[in-house]
Amino acid sequence: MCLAIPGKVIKIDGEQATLDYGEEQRVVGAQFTPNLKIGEYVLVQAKMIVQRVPKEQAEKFLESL
Amino acid sequence: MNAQQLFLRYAYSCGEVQRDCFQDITPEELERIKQMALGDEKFDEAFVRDKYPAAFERMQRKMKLSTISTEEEIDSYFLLAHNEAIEEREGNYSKLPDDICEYCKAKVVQVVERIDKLPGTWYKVTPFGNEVVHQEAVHGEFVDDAEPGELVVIHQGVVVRKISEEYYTKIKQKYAR
Repeated sequence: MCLAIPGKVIKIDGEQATLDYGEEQRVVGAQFTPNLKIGEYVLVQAKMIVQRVPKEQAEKFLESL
Repeated sequence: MNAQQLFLRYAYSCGEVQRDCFQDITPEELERIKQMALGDEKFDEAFVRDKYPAAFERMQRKMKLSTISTEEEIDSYFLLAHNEAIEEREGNYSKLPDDICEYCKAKVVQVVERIDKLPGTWYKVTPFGNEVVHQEAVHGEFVDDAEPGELVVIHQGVVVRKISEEYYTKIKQKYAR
């Protein structure tokens, strides 16, 4: 089935962000999401953040996994 | 592009998630899926069925499709039957929050502009019809010549194909019967 896992923004460095996926961290491009903040949750495609996910939705979903 | 390649264009973005998050697909297997989607490698149905069992099961159950035969059937499956399953929160979709469900649906959207400042092809898009679109940008992995105003199908942040309004209307009417 289709699924997408949100990553939590834990560091922002210019146009790059570090995301926490629990077991690992990834550095991705953040050019499409201006004013990104630490603690936000996002979805990534092709190593670029393409969508924000509301924190409440993301945390509830991650707890269910 | 044939029907098998179209199926893989839709399925590729899910494969990225399966590789990244669940290790169900290895990087080598995902690359193979991409090469098959591009037509650079021969379609291997047994391999594809093994990687996307839920899609084949749902195509059979909802549309009586035992194999991949036409582009129209594949577009109907992803844009309608697959989206319907998400709407109904079938199986594991019941766990997904609303915004991620919307991200997982295949959608027809309109290209606003091509984003040139980055490597690769990216587009800004806007909803078409009643679609809800939260994506800030979509990746033109398989479609690098879409122009502003054109309609395209997206699935999980990837542009799958260009589409005409007439064709989209036709498959919606056909599926509804």
